[in-house]
Amino acid sequence: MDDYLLTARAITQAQRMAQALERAGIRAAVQRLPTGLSAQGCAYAVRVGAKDFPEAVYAARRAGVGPLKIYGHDSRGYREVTV
Amino acid sequence: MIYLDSAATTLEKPEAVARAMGRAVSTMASPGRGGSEATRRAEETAFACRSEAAELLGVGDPARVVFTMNATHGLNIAIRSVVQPGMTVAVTGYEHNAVTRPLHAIPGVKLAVLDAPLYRPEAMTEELDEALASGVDAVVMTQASNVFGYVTPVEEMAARCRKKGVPFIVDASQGAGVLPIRADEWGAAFVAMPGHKGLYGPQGTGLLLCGAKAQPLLYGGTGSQSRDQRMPEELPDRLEAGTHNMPGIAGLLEGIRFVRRTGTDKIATHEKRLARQMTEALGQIDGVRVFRRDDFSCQTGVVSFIPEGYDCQEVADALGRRGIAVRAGLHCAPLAHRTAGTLDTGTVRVSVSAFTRPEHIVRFADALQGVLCEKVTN
Repeated sequence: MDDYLLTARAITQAQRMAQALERAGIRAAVQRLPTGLSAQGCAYAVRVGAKDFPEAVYAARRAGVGPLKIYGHDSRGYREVTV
Repeated sequence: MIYLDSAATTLEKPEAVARAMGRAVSTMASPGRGGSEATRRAEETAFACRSEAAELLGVGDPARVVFTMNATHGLNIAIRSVVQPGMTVAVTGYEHNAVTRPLHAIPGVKLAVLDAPLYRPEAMTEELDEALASGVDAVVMTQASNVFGYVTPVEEMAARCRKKGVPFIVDASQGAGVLPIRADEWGAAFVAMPGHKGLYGPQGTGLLLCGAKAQPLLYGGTGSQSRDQRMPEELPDRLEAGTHNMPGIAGLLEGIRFVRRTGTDKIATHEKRLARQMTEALGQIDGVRVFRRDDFSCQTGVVSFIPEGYDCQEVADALGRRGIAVRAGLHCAPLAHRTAGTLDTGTVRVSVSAFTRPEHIVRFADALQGVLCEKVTN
């Protein structure tokens, strides 16, 4: 995988997750979740690089801010990942 | 003009407030509505404002800081979320109509009014004990009276409500920015406040700190979970339907930064010093009855007085013609006036801010002397 999307239901939740990751020294960018990945429509995600992925999930969970789902991304598209 | 009506709205703001608002008008879209640079700026500003407010007001999670139009809006959400028809609700005898009217609008709600005398916090706490013992369903209270500057014993009352498991709502309209607010520590269901008074933001802004499940007053788009026709469960989206007031939020952010940089304690000390100066000046004018507690232990920078034998509104109007802005009448708080025994006359209210200076108080006192002498002469 090239990078990962850690999803959130709303923009503020995504921002909280990004804040928690940045406090843990992980680069994180908030973005809208691609439409095809959101069953409820209009959701958000935090994008992290592949090398930061495991630590990012740990940091987000430790801060109690998600993620709801995780999608790995590469040239073939998105694939849900379970951790 | 010398502006002494900061309990209504602080007129002088930090310069950064207007600058930020101007920038927001031309550079920000709305949070959660797109992926453009303009949207991102709005999202970052809104989140920064929630985060700074959460730090200042003792909320552990910025998502529980909700933007409202004003304190009244927040209080309506809070009261509608907690109070059901037929409930008994304890309120202090110093509430604003922003509390009493929403309660009155819910069918069958009975009020237990804690009408202990002014500046007697111990007596108010005792009355709360009695009300809790008789089984009230919720407590809604002001942190400080908008008429008399009386600081209520909010921490003690919060502790008693927590112990009994009774939901507790605080109207922090006069406290935000000058009194300590620890929403999570208090265990408050909700704390509502305006952005345009002691937080030095613009009119049209307010904050609701949420500690309990909230019911929306407005339903609509939130930029999230759009296929679901129910409002999202998550805060702040649950309570923030529709496009955000980004110029207001950008201004409020700068106002809150000003308060945090200056320090609530420092602002409160400044305002209390001015209030003391004011009561001393008023005490030297014959026939003026001033409402205060001698040691100022439970008073903000809000002082009410009655010029005996004069109509309060006429005195305020005369001061206005001399360039002094004060507020007379009932201050949208008839309950507070009833409790203090001033319902028939009203009072003249003088209130200061971080930008008020001692010479403003001197000029106010001179002007009042002049007004009263003029009326005697006439």
